[in-house]
Amino acid sequence: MGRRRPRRRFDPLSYLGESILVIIISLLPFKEAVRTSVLSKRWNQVWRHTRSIEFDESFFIASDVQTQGRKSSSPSTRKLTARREVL
Amino acid sequence: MASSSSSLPSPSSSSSSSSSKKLVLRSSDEKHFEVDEAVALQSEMIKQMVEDGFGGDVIPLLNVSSNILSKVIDYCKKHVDFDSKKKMDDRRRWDAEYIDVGVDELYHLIMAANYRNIKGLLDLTCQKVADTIKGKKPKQIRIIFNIKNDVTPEGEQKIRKEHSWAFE
Repeated sequence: MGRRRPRRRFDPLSYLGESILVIIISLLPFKEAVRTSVLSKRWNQVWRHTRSIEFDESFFIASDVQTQGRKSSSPSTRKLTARREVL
Repeated sequence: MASSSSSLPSPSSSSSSSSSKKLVLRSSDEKHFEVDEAVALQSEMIKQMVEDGFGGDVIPLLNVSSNILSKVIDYCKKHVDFDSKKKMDDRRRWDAEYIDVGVDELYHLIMAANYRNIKGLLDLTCQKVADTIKGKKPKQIRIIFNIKNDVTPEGEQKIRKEHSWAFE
């Protein structure tokens, strides 16, 4: 008996055009849009085309920063990084 | 005037009012659907075809199967009705029930809405995908949509590190 080849299940989102994936990604909160970058190679860069960008401070400031004061430069660095990548 | 309906092998004939003008749509599997013009004109593509003078013929929809076309027509019929009544709560409730479909059907509805340029249905279907993704881990999203993970563990680590703020 020959080996049964595992049947690949239909991956619908991979067959949608880039313009539709951009619509979908733009309906997600920015943070979640970025997270889709690990789904697969197809998804890796899609989030960069989102039309919805949020600049919520809490995205960029670590939760312990408020108690420590603002000595660390990391929050502003993070914010700039995100902006550069989007633009 | 109305197209000749008697000779059509129509699996679904929507004749809500016999006086209104009808259009005949043909699915990819050669089924014919007679619909009110107002319903068909929810599709920008069909609207353009009618404006260009093709409204009297059978309008072929090569990429849409009869199952999906029937579902798309349901949406368009209901929304013509909603547009005239403006009952937002009813519309939301109906939309939520309508879009409660599996992943494969959702894909075909997106393709049909995109191909026929039906903005309301495209918005609704894309929102459903986004809502399904929201709040889920990448692993869960891959399972729901059968996404094959072709990123190496090292590659994934690299992406996560690069955008660590998003994965916290």
